[in-house]
Amino acid sequence: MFLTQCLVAAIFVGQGPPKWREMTSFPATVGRLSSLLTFAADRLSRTFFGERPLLATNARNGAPGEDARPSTVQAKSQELKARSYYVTRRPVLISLAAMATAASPRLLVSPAATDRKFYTGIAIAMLFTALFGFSRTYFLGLISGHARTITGRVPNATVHLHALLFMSWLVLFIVQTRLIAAHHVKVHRKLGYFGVALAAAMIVVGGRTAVEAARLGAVPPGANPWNFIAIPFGDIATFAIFFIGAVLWRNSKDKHKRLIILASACLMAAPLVRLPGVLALGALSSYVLMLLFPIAGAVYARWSRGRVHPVRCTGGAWR
Amino acid sequence: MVTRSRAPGPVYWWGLALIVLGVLVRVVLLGSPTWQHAMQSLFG
Repeated sequence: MFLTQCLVAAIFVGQGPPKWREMTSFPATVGRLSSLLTFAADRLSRTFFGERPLLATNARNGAPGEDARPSTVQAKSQELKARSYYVTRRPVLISLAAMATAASPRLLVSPAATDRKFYTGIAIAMLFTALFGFSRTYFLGLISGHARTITGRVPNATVHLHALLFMSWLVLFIVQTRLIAAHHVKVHRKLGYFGVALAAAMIVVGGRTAVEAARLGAVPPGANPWNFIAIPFGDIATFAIFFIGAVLWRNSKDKHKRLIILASACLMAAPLVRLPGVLALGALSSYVLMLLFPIAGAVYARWSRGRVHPVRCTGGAWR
Repeated sequence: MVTRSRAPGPVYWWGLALIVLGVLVRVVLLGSPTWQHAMQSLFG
């Protein structure tokens, strides 16, 4: 009977058919051994001292004397108390045992904690990309009083507004990630309305800037201005598509944050092409570099959620 | 139950596909006379 119960406990802690590598890994072996030792100590203590069990595999036949069904109301309430004790204790102990069987130490770190670091980090990386990209032609020029666009023209009010709005978006991206990291979800949602208005203004002003540039012929040498307008229009269109998706899926946090990264990445081609040496690599090199942001997100998502911890699957107390 | 799962939602993959498709469309439009005339008549 004892051995059978040990076997049942081992299977219960193992929870189904795990991978052979996980079964034979060092943490898994230690976890199973510790759970078996805990169970054996529990049974022995019950046998010799008659105390409450530390670990119950079944509330009905766990404690001594429970085999006889209670006939009075008092006995029934005692049984219910004992069951509630077992029920509240069991998930914690099983969760600890399941944590011990985790195959990788990184799975024991809450994904939310690493998410906060990653999304804040990628937002900061985008802001610095924009600052560095536009520093030579625009930001340093603003300080010295000789700001120029990449084509050499003096920026007008539309260009300044364009710069203000797009930089505000990147700052807002960082603020929003920090608000979520600090669990200020209500403020994040309220600020989201401002984000919608900002994005709408960005689309309008971005389009206006592109049209003005085409009218002035402010395009790279050899390009037709009205053909080249496809580049900024395309950037704005993809940004708008991803942003509308992010608004529609605002209640699905996983999709929402991925779509915001994709939308923000669409704005990165313009600063990336202005980084030293990028244009020399080819006209499309900035778009290849731009893809690094969503690729980083995909790699991170795979790394952080490629495997789901058993406790998270069973809705354990650890989460 | 121990399960193996993908990342929640393949958003990045269809997002990346859409970005790449957008870049290809832009490359085509850069050499398209129809696009040039359309834009010039609209905004020129």
